[in-house]
Amino acid sequence: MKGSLFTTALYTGQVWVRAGVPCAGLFDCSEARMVHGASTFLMAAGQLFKSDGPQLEPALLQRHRMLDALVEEFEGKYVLELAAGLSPRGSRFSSNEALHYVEVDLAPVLSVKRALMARTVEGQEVALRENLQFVAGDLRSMDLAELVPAGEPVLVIGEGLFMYLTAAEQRGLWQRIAALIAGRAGSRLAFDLVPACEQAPGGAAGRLLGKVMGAFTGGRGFALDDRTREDLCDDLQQCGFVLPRALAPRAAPESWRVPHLDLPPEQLLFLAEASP
Amino acid sequence: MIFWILVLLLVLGALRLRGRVGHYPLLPDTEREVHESHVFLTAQGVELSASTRRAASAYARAAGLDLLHIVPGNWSVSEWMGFAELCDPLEYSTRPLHVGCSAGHAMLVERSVLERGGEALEDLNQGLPVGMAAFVGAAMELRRCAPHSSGLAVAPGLVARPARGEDRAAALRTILGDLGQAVLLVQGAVFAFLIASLFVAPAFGWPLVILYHLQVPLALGGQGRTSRSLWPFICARLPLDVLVWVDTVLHLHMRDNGGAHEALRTEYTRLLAQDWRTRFESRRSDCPSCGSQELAFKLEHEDYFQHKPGRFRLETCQSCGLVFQNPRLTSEGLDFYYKDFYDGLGAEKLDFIFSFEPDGYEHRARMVEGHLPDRLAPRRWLDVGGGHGHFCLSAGGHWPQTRFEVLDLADSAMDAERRGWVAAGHRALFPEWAQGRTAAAAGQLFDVVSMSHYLEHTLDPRAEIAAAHTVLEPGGLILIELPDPECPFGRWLGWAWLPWFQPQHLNMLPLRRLEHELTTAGFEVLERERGAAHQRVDLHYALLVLMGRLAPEPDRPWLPPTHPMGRLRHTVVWLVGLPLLLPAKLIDQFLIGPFAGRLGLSNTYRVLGRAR
Repeated sequence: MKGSLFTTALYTGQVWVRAGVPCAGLFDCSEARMVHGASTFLMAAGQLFKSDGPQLEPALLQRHRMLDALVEEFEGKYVLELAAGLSPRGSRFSSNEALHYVEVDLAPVLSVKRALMARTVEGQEVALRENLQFVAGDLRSMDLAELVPAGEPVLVIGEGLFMYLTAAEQRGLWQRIAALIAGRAGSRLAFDLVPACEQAPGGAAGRLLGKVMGAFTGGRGFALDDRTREDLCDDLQQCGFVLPRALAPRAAPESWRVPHLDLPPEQLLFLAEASP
Repeated sequence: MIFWILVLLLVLGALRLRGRVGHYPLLPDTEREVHESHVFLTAQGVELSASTRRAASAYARAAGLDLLHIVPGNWSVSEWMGFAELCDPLEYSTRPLHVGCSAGHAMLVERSVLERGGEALEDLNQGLPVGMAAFVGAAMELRRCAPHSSGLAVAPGLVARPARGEDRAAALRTILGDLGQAVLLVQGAVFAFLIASLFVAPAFGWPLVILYHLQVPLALGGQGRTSRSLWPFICARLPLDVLVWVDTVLHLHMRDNGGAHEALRTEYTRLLAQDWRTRFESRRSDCPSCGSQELAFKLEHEDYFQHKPGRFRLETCQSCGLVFQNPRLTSEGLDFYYKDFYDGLGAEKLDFIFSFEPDGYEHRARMVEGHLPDRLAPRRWLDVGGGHGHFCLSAGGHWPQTRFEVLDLADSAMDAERRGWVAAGHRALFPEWAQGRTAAAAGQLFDVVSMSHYLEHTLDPRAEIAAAHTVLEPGGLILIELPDPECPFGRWLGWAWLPWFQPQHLNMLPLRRLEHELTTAGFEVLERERGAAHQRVDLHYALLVLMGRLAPEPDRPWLPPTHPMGRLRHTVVWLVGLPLLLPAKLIDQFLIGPFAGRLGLSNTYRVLGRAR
């Protein structure tokens, strides 16, 4: 798993475990605890020099909760989660037998995810659900049309994915998602992405953590560019979506129960609907 | 200083083992029935309870596995330490080319995978009791048939068989082939060093030996992977390890002398007695590529890899730079020198070497990115000379929706198809196959044809390139990777430079000549890479070639029987050479590798072309 994005998946997975996110415990493992511990140490060191910056863990929990709320509100039968990593969302929501949940990620990531689930009887029961499907593939080249039946409304989720893609890769994937959900009333794409111009400048520790993460992700760090949230909405529209909009945690409906609204946030969700 | 480095190595080694042991899941009990598609195979004398079968079946389904190697819950501490060194379940499930690992007791197999297993499973399929070697051999073949869906788990209820030296030797030879001897040699050298240090420098040696013993609780303590007590082994690890090692070495040696190669020796005696003149063409006075008569002597070689008899002369064309074998081997000669290299005696060793999955496979596969204008991924990809399909299996991870096919002169292409590494395998000469296929297979042309380390083995590279053009879609891509005869290491290391690779490399085209051949055949050259294609092997493989030259491997059936002095020389050369391999590898990896392109030291180049 060297040189893969899996290290960031371990870190995020452990954040969910520690926050008590439902089903996250299925993916708890010693490597995740180690990655989380090391990252927390580096970030705590960074806080000594710059204590007013945004905090990573609350931001991760906010986006996770907001995307959960979208699944709760979704009235269709199909959810497609791209680059699912160790996300427990599929495990949680597939308890609803009427919902068909498809998780997509690279084969090694899914292999580890399923091995972690198979360690316990509880995890085995989840992994063997017929309405929870794991599909291995590289999103940059895979054919999305095979993942959900034609005509059905689908909610496409990309959590912690698009910041690793260049603008060109983002547009390429958005076009394919837009083509996939076009004409399926009630379908939408939801993903998190904070434009570079809205991100707080990182301190020395932040830069160090970025380099460490970059080393673990094979040099594939965040692909930053100068597009604003308005530019991103324009891009989504040009790719074939309608009504693209950005949603900050504080603007989310109260019923979503987004956590940590009292902390300085750095999180932004984008929503875009299928063209008719 | 050396003392602290060794302490650090021992501690890090133990922690690495601890991480690995922790990756072995324990099968949880379940009430789910065994799935109808699951079959259980056991070695002789091993019993699997119904509850273990249920637990294994539920685990395999949940984890998405078609093959599950089951490790006994009361396995001995010694076996655990050795096995964890060999196999990390995390790597095993995420690296498709990882060589098969089995604890030699039991495994669960999906029925469809079992059916692809081939000859290695004959006895097991007939329900016959099988020994350790056959069981491990079957496990390895099944692993090859389920490269993306194999795993390991510990069954607390599975009782281990008593460990025997005979079994260990058989398993070692089955998994590593001839490299098993090298592993035992290294292990023996470590034991000798530790024991000698106790007497020669006790203040240095005792702490190291104590730390060696303490590796056991560091690696296994508190992990619950074996029900055995750790204490006896903590107290007596070194003497127990030495006893196990001696037992294994004796059985490995006895097995060698037991006449395993006698049939081969008879065959080689017959082959060696045949007329050698039919194995070489006449020496030619002109360049096979450009026709120039300005030829210059380059090097004279022997077979430094298998040590089969014969001498080979390389010449350089002063006009186009081609380096070629002159006189060249005929097809019959090539058959003789290829025999037991990629298959037969050499199969396991080569499979083990290829299993390391060099990063090059992925870089190679990604070179076509962005050159397929109307689609995201290639639809059909033919790998010519692809052997067992290692590249296709690896590239399939990057292009999962691409249909890969492999073509090779050896049976390996058919094995690749049987194992599911490729959608189709073709055993054929490429130019003939392409010619016979074109009319019949209209509409089944390829988006990409790759030839990696292939053209230099062929009798007529020009015909191969032309054949590629006929099977490609208009605008299709050709990807060629070749050793670079202009690499300075070729001059500096002379006969010890791996890419000269005699007698198999017949033609080595410099980049400019290959571009000329491609253009003439109707291709437009799109990209060329040197640094990214460099293989980090120059120095440490040169050392291996030197060691092989000084002391050929014993018991080769084409060489006279090895005398005790020959064995001693082999052992001494390897004992001296092995410690030098590590620094040589480190220099290759970290000092030369990253800078080879910029320094003009790249030993390999890649070219991507488009069919006009």
